[in-house]
Amino acid sequence: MTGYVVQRLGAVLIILVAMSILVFLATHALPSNAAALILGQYSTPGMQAALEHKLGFDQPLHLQYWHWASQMLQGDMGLSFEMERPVAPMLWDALSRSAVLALSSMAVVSTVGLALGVIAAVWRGRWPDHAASVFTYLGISLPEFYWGLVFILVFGSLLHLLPSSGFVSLSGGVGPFLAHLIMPVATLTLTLLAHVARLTRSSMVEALESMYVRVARARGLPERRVILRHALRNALIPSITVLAQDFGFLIGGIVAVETVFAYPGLGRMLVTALERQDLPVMQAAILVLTAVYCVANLTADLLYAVANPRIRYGGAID
Amino acid sequence: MTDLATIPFGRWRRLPTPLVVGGVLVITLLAVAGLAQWIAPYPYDQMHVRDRFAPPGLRYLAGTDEYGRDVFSRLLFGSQLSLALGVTATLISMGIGVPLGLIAGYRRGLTDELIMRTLDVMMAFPPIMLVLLILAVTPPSLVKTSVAIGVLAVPPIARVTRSVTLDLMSGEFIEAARARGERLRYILMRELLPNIWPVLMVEASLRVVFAVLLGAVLSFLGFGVQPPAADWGLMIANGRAFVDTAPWISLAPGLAMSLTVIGISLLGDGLRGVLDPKLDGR
Repeated sequence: MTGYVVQRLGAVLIILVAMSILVFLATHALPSNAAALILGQYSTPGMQAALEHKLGFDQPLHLQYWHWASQMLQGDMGLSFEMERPVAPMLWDALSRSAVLALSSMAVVSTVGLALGVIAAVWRGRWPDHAASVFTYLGISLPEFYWGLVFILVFGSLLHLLPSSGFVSLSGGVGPFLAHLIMPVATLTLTLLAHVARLTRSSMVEALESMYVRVARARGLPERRVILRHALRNALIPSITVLAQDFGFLIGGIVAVETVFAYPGLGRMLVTALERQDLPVMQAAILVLTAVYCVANLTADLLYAVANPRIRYGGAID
Repeated sequence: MTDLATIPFGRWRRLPTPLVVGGVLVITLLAVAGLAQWIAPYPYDQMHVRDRFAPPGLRYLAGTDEYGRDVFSRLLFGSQLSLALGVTATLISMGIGVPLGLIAGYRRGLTDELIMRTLDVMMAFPPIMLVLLILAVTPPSLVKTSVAIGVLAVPPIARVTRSVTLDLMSGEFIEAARARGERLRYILMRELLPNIWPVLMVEASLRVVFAVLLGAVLSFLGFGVQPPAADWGLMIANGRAFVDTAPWISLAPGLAMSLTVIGISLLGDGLRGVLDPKLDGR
């Protein structure tokens, strides 16, 4: 197991280095002239050349990369072109706000998804099962930004129940903080629910037909106990893994949802930076999101190994 | 795994409801996309300046947008773009993924290791980051979006193909073909592929859905198809600013998209039910 973890951590490092090279090269292939972008439309070629020299853009590419990467490793992400402020503090703030959104969504997705899956399996083929499948179908049949718009229309514009955009920190009061979170979290939940709910349903169906559940019933245990203690415990393993994998999907979803709700997280920061071609912000945001994604995937695999002792990593598994 | 032709007639006759509903939706979509030029009441970019923000009615079935363009006509034309994106992306990913999976599963050993580990590395990158990076640094176009989304789906398709190939490899028909001295190309294309395609059809339907949705997200964010194209994602994004006063501008394309996605997914689910009876009721 230890060997496996070390090997996987090594892989994560390699991927991060590869991604950093990719990001670096891609952003240097940008059509726009960074110096012209910073100095604005009234700059002269001489001024641009001077700034390029100051920023080191006239050096060979590998030196530039080395310089950039070593600064990155020291936590210095450079200055934003657009706002002329250091990227790092802005980025960590945005990341923490995205984390609030992501973690609350994951909490809701796992509870609601597991519950829906169990309900659908227990009442298999009857109306609760059909209702759950219609509900999950609806969620994945439209992109998250569309659900976001529908929520804004219904709960924001029509009913005036919830604020339709922005973010309030906890110091601004618990009520407003939660109110701003409800719609983004609901949107993300809706699009992620199907995966977990369906998987839980199918593994619960399998578990409920198994010998150990029949034995538990034959022993006269109450049905509630049979379902929750005997069947669900065994059906949980694949669901846990899929939840961890979904965390990776969540990162993609967050980019769109944060844009819809004008939520000041890392996803929106990335989109704005891409639009304005703000290189340092772009590079840092992509790298940090990649790192989060890799760690989430690694956690998924490790959880799987811990939860399912039948899997032995390191050997051949097909 | 069953070949379509070997399914007893009786099982085709009582077609599962999802397959029928999905089939009808998909056929309608194809018809709409094919006939858009003729059935659309107006050209997709014709502006009726006097009728800006007209609500849905007899003249404009789904209302008009901020330029007075007929939303219904734009919806019809939009089906072409969505379909083109979904199908092109899926063809690209199948065109690369299926041969890779076949070879990996057939050759096994070093070839298998090389192919699958390379794909693992690809999957380790967060998909949306790669696409956004590609689309943000180069000028956007429908073809590029399709290629980017298509390449993203290569690893999962190769994995599915490989695992089904591995299952089939123990079959006597493969051994027989080898004993006859058939060439690699023949074994892959004539012996293995026909047995894999039912699974691939199901996978392909999933991939089309995925491509349509991802394409919509990309155009919503402004990195996909560019205005004034009648793209559903773009239409939803444009209507965002008027969601209070003219919600039909965003809601109508969303409805069209959901019918498309539900239709294709139901078709895929239904196909799986018919092709693989073991999965019934799961």
